[in-house]
Amino acid sequence: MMRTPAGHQVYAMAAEYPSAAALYEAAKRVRDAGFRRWDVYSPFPIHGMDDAMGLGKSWLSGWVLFGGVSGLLTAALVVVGSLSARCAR
Amino acid sequence: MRWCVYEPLLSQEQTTAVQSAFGAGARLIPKLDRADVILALDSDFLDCGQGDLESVRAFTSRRRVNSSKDSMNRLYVVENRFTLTGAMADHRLRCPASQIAVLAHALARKILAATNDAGLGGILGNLQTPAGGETFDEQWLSEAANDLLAKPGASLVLVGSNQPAAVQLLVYAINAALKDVGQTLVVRQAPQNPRTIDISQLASDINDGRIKQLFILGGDPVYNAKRGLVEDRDTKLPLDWGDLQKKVSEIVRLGYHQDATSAISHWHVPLAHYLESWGDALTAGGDYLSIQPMILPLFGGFSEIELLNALLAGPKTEGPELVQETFRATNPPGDFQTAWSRFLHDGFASHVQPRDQTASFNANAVGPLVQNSWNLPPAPTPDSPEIVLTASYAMDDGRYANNGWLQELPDPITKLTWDNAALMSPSFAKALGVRTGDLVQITITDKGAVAQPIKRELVIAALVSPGHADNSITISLGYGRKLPEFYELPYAGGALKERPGIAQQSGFNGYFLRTAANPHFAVAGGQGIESVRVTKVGHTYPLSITQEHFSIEGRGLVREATLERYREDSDFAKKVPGEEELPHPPPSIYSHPPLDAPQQWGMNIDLNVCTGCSACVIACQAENNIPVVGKLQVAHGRAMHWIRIDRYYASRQPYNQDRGEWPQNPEVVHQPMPCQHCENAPCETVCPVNATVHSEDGLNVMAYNRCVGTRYCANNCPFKVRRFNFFDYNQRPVGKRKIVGALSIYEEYFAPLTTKGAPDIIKMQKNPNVTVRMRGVMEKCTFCVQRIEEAKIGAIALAGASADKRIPRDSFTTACAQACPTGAIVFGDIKDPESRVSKMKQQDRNYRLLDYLNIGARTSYLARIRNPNPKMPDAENIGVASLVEKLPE
Amino acid sequence: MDAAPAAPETIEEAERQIARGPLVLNRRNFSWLTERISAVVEQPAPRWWWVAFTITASAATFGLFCLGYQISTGVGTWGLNHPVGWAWDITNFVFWIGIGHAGTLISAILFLLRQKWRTSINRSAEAMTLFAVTCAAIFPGVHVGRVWMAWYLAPFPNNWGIWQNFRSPLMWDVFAVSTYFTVSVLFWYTGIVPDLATLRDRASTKIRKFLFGIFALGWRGSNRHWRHYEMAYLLLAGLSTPLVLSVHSIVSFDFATSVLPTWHTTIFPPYFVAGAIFGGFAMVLTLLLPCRAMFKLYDVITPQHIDKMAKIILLTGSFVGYAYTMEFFIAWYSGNSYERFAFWNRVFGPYWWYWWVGMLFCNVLSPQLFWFRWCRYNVYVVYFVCMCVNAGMWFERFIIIVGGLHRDFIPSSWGLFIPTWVDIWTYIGTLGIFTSLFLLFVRFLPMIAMSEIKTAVPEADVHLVTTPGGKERTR
Repeated sequence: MMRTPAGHQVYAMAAEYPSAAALYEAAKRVRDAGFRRWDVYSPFPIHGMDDAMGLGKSWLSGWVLFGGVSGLLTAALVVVGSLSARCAR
Repeated sequence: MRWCVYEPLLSQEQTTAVQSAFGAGARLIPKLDRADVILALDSDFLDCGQGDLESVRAFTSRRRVNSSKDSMNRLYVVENRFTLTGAMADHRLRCPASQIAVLAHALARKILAATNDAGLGGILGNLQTPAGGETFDEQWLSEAANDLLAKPGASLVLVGSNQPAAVQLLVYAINAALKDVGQTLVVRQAPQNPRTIDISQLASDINDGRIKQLFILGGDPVYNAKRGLVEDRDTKLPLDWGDLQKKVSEIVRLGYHQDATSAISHWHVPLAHYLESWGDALTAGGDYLSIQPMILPLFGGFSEIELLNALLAGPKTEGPELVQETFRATNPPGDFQTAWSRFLHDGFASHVQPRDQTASFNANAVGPLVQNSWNLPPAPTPDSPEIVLTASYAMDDGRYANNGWLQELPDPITKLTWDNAALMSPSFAKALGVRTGDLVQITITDKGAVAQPIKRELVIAALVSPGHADNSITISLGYGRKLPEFYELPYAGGALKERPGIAQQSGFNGYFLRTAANPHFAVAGGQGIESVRVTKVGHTYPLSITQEHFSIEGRGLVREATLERYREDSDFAKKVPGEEELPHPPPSIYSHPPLDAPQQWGMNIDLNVCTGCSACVIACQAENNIPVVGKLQVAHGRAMHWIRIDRYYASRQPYNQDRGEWPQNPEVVHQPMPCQHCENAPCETVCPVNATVHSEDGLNVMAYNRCVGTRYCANNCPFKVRRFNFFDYNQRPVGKRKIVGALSIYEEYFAPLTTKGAPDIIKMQKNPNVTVRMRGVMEKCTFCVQRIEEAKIGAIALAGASADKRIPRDSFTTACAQACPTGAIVFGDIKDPESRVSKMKQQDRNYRLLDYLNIGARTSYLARIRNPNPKMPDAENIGVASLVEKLPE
Repeated sequence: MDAAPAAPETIEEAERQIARGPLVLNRRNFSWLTERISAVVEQPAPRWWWVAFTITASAATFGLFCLGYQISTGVGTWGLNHPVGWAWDITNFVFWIGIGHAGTLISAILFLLRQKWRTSINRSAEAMTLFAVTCAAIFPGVHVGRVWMAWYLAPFPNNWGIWQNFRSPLMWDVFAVSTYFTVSVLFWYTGIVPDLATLRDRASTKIRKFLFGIFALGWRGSNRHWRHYEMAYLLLAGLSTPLVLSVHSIVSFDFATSVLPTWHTTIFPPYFVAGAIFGGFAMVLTLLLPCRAMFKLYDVITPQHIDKMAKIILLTGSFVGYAYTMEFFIAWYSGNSYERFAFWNRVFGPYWWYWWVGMLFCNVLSPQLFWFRWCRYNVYVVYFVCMCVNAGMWFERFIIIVGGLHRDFIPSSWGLFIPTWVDIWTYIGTLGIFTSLFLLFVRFLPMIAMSEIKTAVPEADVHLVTTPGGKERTR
């Protein structure tokens, strides 16, 4: 448990970097130091930062695939179902 | 009491001529089915007018060909304007109406030279021969005369009732010389009333103050009596009927509407419609018919016979008693009640049979008459044209001016709706410097009895009409029936509360130019006419014409050939390059309804016997609750007719209509165009909501209440037969104008602010078996599906337990086919090889439109055959509507 | 045309020639970009904005009145008639849908192709897409005869057991356009979230803070967010890419699957897509060139951007010219007299000048100016050509639709289309709606994607080093 010189408990620590390159270098070192609960903030996405932070590929694509497939199936069901209903006499 | 009969369009000249040539009470009946060669001089005998339905049937019976071995009659027409008869002609000569006399004279000389007929010679003997050169084609007339002479007893020369009595008589003499009287021209006796006077007699009696009380039954003489009936005693100025009527101290008018005549009558009695009255009638051929009411008088009107009965102080009757009296006088055989029931059931009395008389042509009596009245007016010139006044195809003498269906019916030739116009030839119009829609002023100056000449003027819109004779202007009568004061009528039932007003905005009143002296045509040098002038006014007038493009652009839509060509190549109709029927329909990626019903509906239209009369259009409108959209909407291309008649001017000499070129001496072809009920209908695949689909019996059907109105189906219809409800035609006022400040706005353009709902009388007019469509939905020909379903129900009831529930063969038909006077339209079961429609479709002339699109139309056409005389100078220009003749095999 | 470059003599020279010019001029830094772009939203609206907005909003209001009038009174208030069942309504629909295509192309295809120059124009191009599709969606909705029954177009179980007709291209249109609109909205909104967060953080009033805060969805710029964000953006770009091609292809099927001469052609899908991109880029430039001048964004929207867009206009315009030529060739080659007549009629028929001016001059000839570098770098010439293309693409659709309908198979049914004041004002109304929405957009939302354009400046590169000569190079 870290404390400040004034005796307050440290909740988190933040540092500001002058450039994307400096931030990138710092992130790699934080990653290598084995930190788990940390993050990098920037006004734009920094290319290569995911690796620098040791993050893997986003899981979003799986959900999108699921949504796309279910949407396609629903559409096909509506088309085929309504066309079949039309032919039934 | 005196009895005066006035029919504005009935020709006094013809009656005079017939009676003097064939005896009093004689009536001439042409037997067109017996004639091989017919020459019509200014005679529109196919116009479906008075007594002409029989002529139409008889004529077309000789035009119908079932195979290339059949023969046809041949029709020569000489006329100043295109008529339905002219459109059917094998050879047609343009000739001013006033010059028919000259032509008849030349013809008579040729016939005389060949036959040496004594009667004709006697009449022709001392007649004044025309001064100067003849204006017509000499070879044309010679060859036509030779053709007539080759068929003695099987030829016929007809002359229009508008020609002077002398010309009529001369033509009867020609027929007598050709041995046609008694063969193709028979005489029948018509009943006569010796106390009948004509309107000129009545006019002079009124002028002399001899008439104290006048009952006017029907008609509208203030509007349509001939002008200048008598001269005023003091001023010597001509008096019109309107002036005369004011001189009678008491006038009782029996009429449908409060019209111009009622306005200056003392009493107006509402006339019951003929569908509300008992009555009887004689046909032109002498058959005796019954008229039964379909409904009790809606507005408490009286029929003519009821009023006459009251005048004669007969007992008051409410039923058929008065008609029964007349019927009893014909001595019906057997029990009276049975005979009467049979009379009503059949619609005619079979025991009253008109017989042809053996009367012969009385040349000796006729000779002096012709001599005395023979008058050859000078030929019209571009500076002094002739004005021809004719009956309109829709308005009759103006009596239908308040009938929206007829106002909106496109004229069969000009395709003009809601108006009449001054028809003129392209070259004459060019000389005048006018185009269609330009107003022209027509001034006819009569020689006055005193110093001042009398001018009659009419400002009227011009309409350029190919095939019209040069230096001649045709105006149809019956339009411009303006009603001086139209009050709110005290009719019951909430109907007609507003100004009816349809007639008020429609057309130009040609009666202004129609004098007692020159009722049919006016030409400088005619009876008392000093000059005829036509000048351009400099303003235009909107004309609503339903067909703007009249060139067929070389497309194989109307396929036509000469009889000669048809005999050489009976399959010519199937050989239009690029339009051949598909031998093997390509496979379809769409699934289609199975078309497996026991009966499959189809239609066939024989272009060879279609005269273009447009009866089918009105029949369809009545049957299918088709709304009237008004003149403005017709001008915008929004007419709703489910079947239209396409009319093309065909000419061997190609012409480019876009560049303002006109065909010089075209032929007219008509093509009725209903929905073709394509088996692979392009409209069906594109409807996003399945509002138009196919039935198992082959109909392309519309579900109105499913339609959202994308109009995609109409866009994709190759025949453009689908009709869209652009406004709420059935629920809101349409075609009426509202004056808002300086603007005049048609009420359909602010529909939400107008009163919704149709008057009860309009609702009663609708066919209860047919849905009335609302705004925003598409509609089109259904092959009268309501009649099909009715017949199916009947057949199922009839079949009982039997498995075969088919409708008996040809036991019903569509409204258009039912109304067609020539039987050109045939509808029925195409699956039954013995049905009439199947037999028509088996003919070698059968073809389908636009087959290359693989649409499989259920409506097919029989190609048109013309029968030109190869010796005629214009033979090359006949039968040229499709390119068939032009292209080598 | 550009002069052919001489062969480079040194490696440095070669690199200099290969290197692309900077996308942000004058070495503007992150702070400058944020300040300049946010200022448009944060400072009071300039007077010209109020004047422009008053005009466009009035036009939009009157256009909406015209729509209400047409719906309440009937389609007859337009000039449509029996041969011509569609005219300005569907012309406007295709026109607006086409314009939308540039936005999607810029945001999706150029993203996948890693064209970084897109970053200064993609936000406004996407917004333009949304507004154009909004305008487009009005027409299929209101052109039907019974608008209140338009829900029949949706698959909806009903007591008749009638469903939609999936063979109808109009049905495909409904799904294509609604999908396109949905994906475009998602794409645009996804892109704008980080910038909304920037504006929220800079907001000086409570209302702004609240509203931007709501719509920024709690964005903090965390790299753990950026990771998913970039995936989402990539996926949306991937999903949008086929839409760029499919939507206008399907719109073209409205015509191509019919039987009418000039409509029934297989060339339509690529021809329509090329035309849509062509017209869309012209509209992007039409909107951006004034904005660039008014908001002094010369450093962000540079001559290089304009040059690139002009080149795309030249390319797609030439595609379109090729398609026009090929239509005529095929009509002749088919030997079908109906086809031949229809194309002859297009050039010499009643609507001849629409073809000569609209299609030939505006669409085919005017973009050819962009072969010349001087023309591409002269904003007045560029603007002139863009206006030509805007007009020309409208005329092209009119010629295709009305030209095909007014004279088809049966000469007796030929007619002409004459627009009414309702037709004209409905169209002007959609122009008003479009420009009003765009004016509101530039006023209230960042018209340039701040978070994206920052990635296009050299400082965003984590491998950036400064060379001794003061030039920046990446390792």
